Amino acid sequence: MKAPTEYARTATFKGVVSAFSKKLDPQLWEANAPEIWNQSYVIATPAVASVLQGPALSLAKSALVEDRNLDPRRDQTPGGLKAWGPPGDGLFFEDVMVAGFQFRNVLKTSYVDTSGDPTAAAPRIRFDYRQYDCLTTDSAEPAQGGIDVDHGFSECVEDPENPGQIKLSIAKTVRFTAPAFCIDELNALASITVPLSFDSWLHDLMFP
Amino acid sequence: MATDPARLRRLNQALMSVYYYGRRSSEEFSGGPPREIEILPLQVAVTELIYDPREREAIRPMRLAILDLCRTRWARPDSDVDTEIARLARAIATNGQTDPDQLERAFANIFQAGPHIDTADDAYVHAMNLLAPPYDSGNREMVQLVSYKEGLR
Repeated sequence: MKAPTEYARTATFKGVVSAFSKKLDPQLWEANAPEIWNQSYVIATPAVASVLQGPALSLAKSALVEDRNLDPRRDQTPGGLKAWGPPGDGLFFEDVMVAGFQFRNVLKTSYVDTSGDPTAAAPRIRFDYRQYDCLTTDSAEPAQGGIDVDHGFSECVEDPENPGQIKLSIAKTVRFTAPAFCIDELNALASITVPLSFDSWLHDLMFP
Repeated sequence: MATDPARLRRLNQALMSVYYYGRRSSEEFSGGPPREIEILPLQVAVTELIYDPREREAIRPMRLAILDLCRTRWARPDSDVDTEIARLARAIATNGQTDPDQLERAFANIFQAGPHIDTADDAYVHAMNLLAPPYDSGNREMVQLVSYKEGLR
């Protein structure tokens, strides 16, 4: 099987970290980039999870429904969550278009933004993600699964080498396993779609 | 306003095709272009993107496309890319209600004797700052892109 595609970029900006508050929030992908993301949201953690322990906890906290064609339940926190897991669940659902195919993917994620916290040692916004479960791939040959590797992060901090500037680092490693008829082509196209997704994030930082 | 999923899919495909054009000679495609996944010719892809320059959903893909074509154009002269950068610049200007001639000239100047640009990423940054709102250091909501490089440093 082809090795996953790895890609990383660093951008520097004039400005302050708090200017990126919310803009790096993955909950906004669906609103900011509808030509790439159909949906992007934190999955609601079942209330029952708070009273379970051991194996039952890990089962309940998956928060996924049995039918893979049904979308997981969306967290209903008004205005969206400001930070999440770990230690919370941190499951995140994305319905994303890649090369004309629709992937419904669940990531294990965490998000933190201290740029508005006066007690924080240094302002920082960071999003980490790791593959959890690709539910389905929609193509001429609909399939369960479709992504077996997907992890990376974005981080925004003050640039220690250039006072007055901020540094954004973004990294992603991904591999597709469906649709079966074009796996190799789709993984080759990851060399395009990953830079495109990074550029997409950068665009959203620059434009109101 | 409701978003048309079919239109969003076409924008997605057109944008990916523009990105493919700049990377078609890379190692990943040494075996030739994809056969199972449809890639649009550059001119067709840009025509799709600028189909209605005032379309709300199109402005973002148009910006992403012109910025990436500036990387492509910096790598080597290509009259087809020059043509498509000009078409996109005029469409973006129409959407933003700025002067199309002025924006087209500003993009063309990137590749002439104008600004000091050493890399494809420099061209990308310069192009971004042509499109982005003017930076105001007194506004803590605003940023200005200084550099954008491959790798984590």
